[in-house]
Amino acid sequence: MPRSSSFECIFFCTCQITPEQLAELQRITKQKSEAEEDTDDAERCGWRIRQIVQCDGIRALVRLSQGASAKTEEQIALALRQIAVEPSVRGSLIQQGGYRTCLDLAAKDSAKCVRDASWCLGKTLVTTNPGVLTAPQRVGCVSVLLRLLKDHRCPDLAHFEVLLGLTNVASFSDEIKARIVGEKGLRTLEYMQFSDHLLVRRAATECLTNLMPHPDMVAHLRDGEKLKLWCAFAEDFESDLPTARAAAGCLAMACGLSDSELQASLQASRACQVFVDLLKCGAAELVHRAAVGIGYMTDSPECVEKFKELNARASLAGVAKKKSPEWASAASAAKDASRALVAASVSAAVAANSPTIVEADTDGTFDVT
Amino acid sequence: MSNTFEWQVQWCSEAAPSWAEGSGSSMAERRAQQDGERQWKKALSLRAIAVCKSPINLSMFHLLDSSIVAERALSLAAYGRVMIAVDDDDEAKSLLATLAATTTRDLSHMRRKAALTSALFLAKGDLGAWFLSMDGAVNECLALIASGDEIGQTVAAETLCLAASNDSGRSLLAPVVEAGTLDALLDSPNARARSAAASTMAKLGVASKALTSDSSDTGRLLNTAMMLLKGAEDAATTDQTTQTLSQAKFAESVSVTTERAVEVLAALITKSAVKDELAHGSGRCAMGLNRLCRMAKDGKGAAAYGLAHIFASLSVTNKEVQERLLAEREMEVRISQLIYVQSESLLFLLIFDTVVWDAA
Repeated sequence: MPRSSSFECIFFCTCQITPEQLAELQRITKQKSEAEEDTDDAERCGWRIRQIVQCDGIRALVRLSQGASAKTEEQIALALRQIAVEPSVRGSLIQQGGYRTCLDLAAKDSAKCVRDASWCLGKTLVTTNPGVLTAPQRVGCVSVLLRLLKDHRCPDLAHFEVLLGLTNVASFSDEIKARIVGEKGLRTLEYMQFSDHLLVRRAATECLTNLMPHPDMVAHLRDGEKLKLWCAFAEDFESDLPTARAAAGCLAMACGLSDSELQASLQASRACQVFVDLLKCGAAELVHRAAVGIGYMTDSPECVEKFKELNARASLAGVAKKKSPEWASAASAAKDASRALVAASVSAAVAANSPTIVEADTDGTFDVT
Repeated sequence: MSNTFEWQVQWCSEAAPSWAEGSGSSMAERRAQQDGERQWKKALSLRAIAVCKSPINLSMFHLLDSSIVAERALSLAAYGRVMIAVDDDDEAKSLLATLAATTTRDLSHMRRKAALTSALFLAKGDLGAWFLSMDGAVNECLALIASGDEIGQTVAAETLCLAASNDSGRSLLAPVVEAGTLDALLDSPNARARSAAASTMAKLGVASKALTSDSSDTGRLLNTAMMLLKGAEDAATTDQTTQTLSQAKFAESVSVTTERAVEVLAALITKSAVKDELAHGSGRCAMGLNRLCRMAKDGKGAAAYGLAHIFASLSVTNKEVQERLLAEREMEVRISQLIYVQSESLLFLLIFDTVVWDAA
């Protein structure tokens, strides 16, 4: 190898250097002595955070935020965000006024301050029951969190945690769902579904699912192109089960709505095929959602025909036979779907005046020909 | 006299009229406003120069050593305002040259000069460094500290503390460090001088990266900072009528001591060992965190930023800070940085040798 190549090799190998590598390099080159090596870790840091909270540190930060300069506000927002990393103190953060302060700090001019305060709110909401917050606190956080999602300079972790927080708060009431939609949250969340990061895509999909059955979310699903994406997410259970679970849940809920336009879009989409495929995926949660979706879709004769073609009853019968506790709800939903499918077939045959044969099985399932 | 000072300060820092501020919509408007701004600055500068050349200057200088605290503070602020208004540093230096050149062993004069240096550091750091670099200025500070005079010690220690915040000022402090003056001041009964010395040492230590977790200086500074916080808290809870100092002086003293203690802790808090000691508590740091929490009254005080910084540092590991800083700057370590990291290593020599060899 020529000597210049070895140089390039060293250069390119070290260009994407991580902090750990940098520290190691400093240690090797004796710029950092063994004694100076930092042994601080997340566990010790968590312990310090709990000590701060015990000593009323959050109240101290809240007091400091009154009349503080922009730079001080940045430090306060940073401190609160870092404190919120420790899940056990998030309740105290709300109790001691840290949450309220973050809402105030998120309305300031400094980008850093706004980002850290919003991130702190997102982190806190991940594990907090929205019911313990006051109505203004619940509603007030929505615009703040959505604004952070639009900030492309934020790290993926911030987007992920804020999406989880938003998902949690969206599940609380229709008022919050309306607020998210009113703040143009649908567009933002849809955009996040195309993130490079798997967890961000997953959290955005879960959040959108929690917006059901808001009329704007229903309108969103009426679009055939959007449904294609949802079907693709639901189908792709092998690469990410939670995203598929959320998408399948959303589709199943959509099937249960009495919206003729949406039902027409669902019939035109690949939803029937996706549900039947999911019955064979082996994941109880996904199968449950697929069975519920099939049950709802039996209201449409076109869908019943599709299910017949796809031999959905055989798959449903296979699920209905499962006895283990984790499959209980899936099996029950499969039985219901199977019955609904038979009933729909019988009524279709009666309507068409053609003979039908019903064969009852020992476990209560039956077959129609 | 205070009215004269206030009038003079307002005259030298008068808000710009409408034609000299704001931002116009068109290019021509903006240019006209920039010209106006320049003219206004020039006018304020001429006013400040006029003040410095008038007899008021001498009165201001004399009042820097007034027995009344409020007068001292007022003349200090007035000097600062006037010097900020002078837009040409050379002009400012020529105005101060006479005062700077005067060296004397008179305690009052030395106190005034030290106070003036503080005012200059606060107004324009480089001007303060220039004033301190004049013949005998640092020695006068040392003499003031050695004199045992309470006001003199305080003023001189605070001047050194301000000098330690300035790049040019730090280089002038070598004789102070060598003489062990700061070390001696850490044991002084004068709390303000002690806090200023601790703050100076912390700033010098941080700047020179000499403060390691296991160094004795770190321990001593932490000890001093905690003692100062304890003293300030005890003093604040003591019935003030029993104090010999006047109420204003007492309150100012407590506030300044607290600010300096927070300043020292803020400088030391980047060390993981200090973080743990503060949160865990030790002989010297018992109730340290509680004290800091109680100290946070509102965001208006000068210590607010320091306190917020301490809480922010306590709740994070240094590794996370490093990662955040790298991410914020979207930094990929470049070759120049890599070579810097490797500057003392054999690897660097190997690469350098390779490049030179290839170039040849």
